[in-house]
Amino acid sequence: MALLTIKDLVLGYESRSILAPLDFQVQNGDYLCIVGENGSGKSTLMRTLLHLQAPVSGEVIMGDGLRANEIGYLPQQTAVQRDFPASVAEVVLSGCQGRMGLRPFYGTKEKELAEKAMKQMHIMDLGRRCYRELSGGQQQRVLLARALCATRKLLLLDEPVSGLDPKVTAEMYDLIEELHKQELTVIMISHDIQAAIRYATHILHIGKEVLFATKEEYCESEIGKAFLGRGEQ
Amino acid sequence: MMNRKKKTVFVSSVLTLLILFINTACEKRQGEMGAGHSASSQTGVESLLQSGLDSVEQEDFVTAPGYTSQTSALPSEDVIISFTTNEEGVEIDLTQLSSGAVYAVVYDMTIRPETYCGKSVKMHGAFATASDEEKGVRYFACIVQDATACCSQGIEFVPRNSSKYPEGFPDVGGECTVTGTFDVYTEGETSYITLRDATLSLD
Amino acid sequence: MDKLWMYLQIPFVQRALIVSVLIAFCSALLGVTLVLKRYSYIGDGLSHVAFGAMSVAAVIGLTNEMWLILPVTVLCAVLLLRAGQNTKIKGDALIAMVSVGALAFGYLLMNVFSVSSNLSGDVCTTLFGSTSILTLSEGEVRLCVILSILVFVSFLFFYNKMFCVTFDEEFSRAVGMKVDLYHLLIAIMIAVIIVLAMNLVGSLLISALVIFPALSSMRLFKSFRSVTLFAAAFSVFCAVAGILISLLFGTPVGSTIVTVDTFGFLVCFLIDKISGGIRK
Repeated sequence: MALLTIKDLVLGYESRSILAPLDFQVQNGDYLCIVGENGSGKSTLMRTLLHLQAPVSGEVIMGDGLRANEIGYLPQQTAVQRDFPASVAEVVLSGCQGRMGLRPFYGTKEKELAEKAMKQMHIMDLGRRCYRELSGGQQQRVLLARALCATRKLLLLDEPVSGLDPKVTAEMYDLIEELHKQELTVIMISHDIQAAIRYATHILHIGKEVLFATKEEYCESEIGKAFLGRGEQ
Repeated sequence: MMNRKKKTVFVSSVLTLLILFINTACEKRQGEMGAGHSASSQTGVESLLQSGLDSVEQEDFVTAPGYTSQTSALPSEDVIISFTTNEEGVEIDLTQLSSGAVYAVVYDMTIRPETYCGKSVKMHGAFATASDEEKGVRYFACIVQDATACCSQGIEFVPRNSSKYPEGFPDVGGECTVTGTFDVYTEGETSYITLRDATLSLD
Repeated sequence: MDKLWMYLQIPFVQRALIVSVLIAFCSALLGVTLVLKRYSYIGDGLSHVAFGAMSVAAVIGLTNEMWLILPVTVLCAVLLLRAGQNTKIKGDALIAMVSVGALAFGYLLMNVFSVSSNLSGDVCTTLFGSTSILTLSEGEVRLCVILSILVFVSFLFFYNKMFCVTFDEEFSRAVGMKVDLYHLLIAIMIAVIIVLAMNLVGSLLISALVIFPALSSMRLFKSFRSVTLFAAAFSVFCAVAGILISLLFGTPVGSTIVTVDTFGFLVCFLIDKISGGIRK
């Protein structure tokens, strides 16, 4: 069964739809990039997938034993967070809250999970550093480690490289690719169509027209060609 | 959405009721008006001062007629100050305390006078006086202010020697030190607190 | 000093110290969360609401005013914290409106219905907390102790969850946490502490108890836990120092505490600047 099945999903606010109905499936191990114009509804889609927002109509069905508290999410950073006085370890550990239920304090299992996530993100040496003193790229890695703690299967990333310089951006993509290779399903919103083409297995183009296709199909399609062409200019 | 709101309202009401229940179970002091702790019992002088009577004449002063002294035998359950007799034999020496502390004690005296009945008190403050023309009675008081100087509290005193006012008395508003025995009396329906057998020294 | 020792023997001073330690402790704990969520001024808003409720209670003639003050303040806390979630501007303006409106209404009521013999004194004491902290009864102390312990235990129990919610509300919702419940909890704790703290420093100065310890602490410490612990210690120290100084020198209690808080913040600020801001 597919990990995520989106059926006739109509996004919008208060019964006003912003897009044509969406219909696609995400399988285990996929790497889906959501691309499109600014303001076309990419973030709305992601929030709807996470049940943070109710759709106008349609369903998001989670299969393959996936539960709501097993989805890792990397949202866009807020100004408050950039200035937050917390150690990196505390931030990463907080990703385990989804599996804590009512338990007040973290156990050894959670601490080991956090350690593992930090190792994967190559931030073990940053453990005691203050979050607000880190660079943009380092902060994103910390937040990605936090998202890892929350998930065993599925990672949702909302523009993870926005505001990062090219070298750091490349590092970030490499990290995400590593995670993908370790059997994590990735759904990523990205403005960077070139990177999407390079790493993704599937593309979901949202805009005046909606297209869900594999990477190869997308490159051959009208929409894909137009979007890519524009990107190259 | 509705369910969540209902739950919210329910949970907050339960918690608030719980807190209030605990509060009522613990609350011993009744009949207080205003968290600003305004005096609920008045001193005789204050009521006169507020009605604006203030005549300075030479006259014999008479103790307020028709009073009944109440040296209450209530146990001093909730004492906010300890009574230790100093060298002068005074049990409550307010001259050693700063203005905030003095005001606190005087305020407590107006709220729970029974705790202090029969104790000797020494206090320092501003002298005030007023006379009740109808009764032909002159009242004297020592006024203290709190640290912000926005609230004042006064205690009436009855001098030991029936001397002619204003001889031997400071000017109104002048500093004075009063030592006397705390007592409560009733005039009509109102209780008043006073220091009896008071000795007055001018500063 | 002998004088100090004398004061410490007096029961009402002991009570004042116990209560102020507890209140300062609890308000500092919650202050860190509030400052980070940019709700620093909510203490002020809620204390004015409490003042308004108190006036209504005095006019109605309630013997125990808490019956009205606590529920109204809790309700307003819930409303203010919820409304501010969508837009920051809404939250700001709403707090200001409620705060000023309640203060004016309360004062108007007290004037029109003349329930107290010394109106300006009453208002002054409520706004600046001149001697309320020194004239507490055993019952009031007991209530304060119980409520403070409740707040502290809740804070401890929900510490990790509140951290997660404060740091990133979106993420917390996405992983399935009951964010609204924690907001409600924070609102109730704040309301309770504010009502208690009115006794200590009065309505106008409550924000200081909430803000200064948190800000001072954030200058110096790097992890959320150490920030919280230091904020609590700082607040307790300043409250105790403030009360003792005000007793020794006859200054108003509330303003003295806040002045000590301010100096403390300046000291922390200077230390931060001098040490270059980097400390393990």
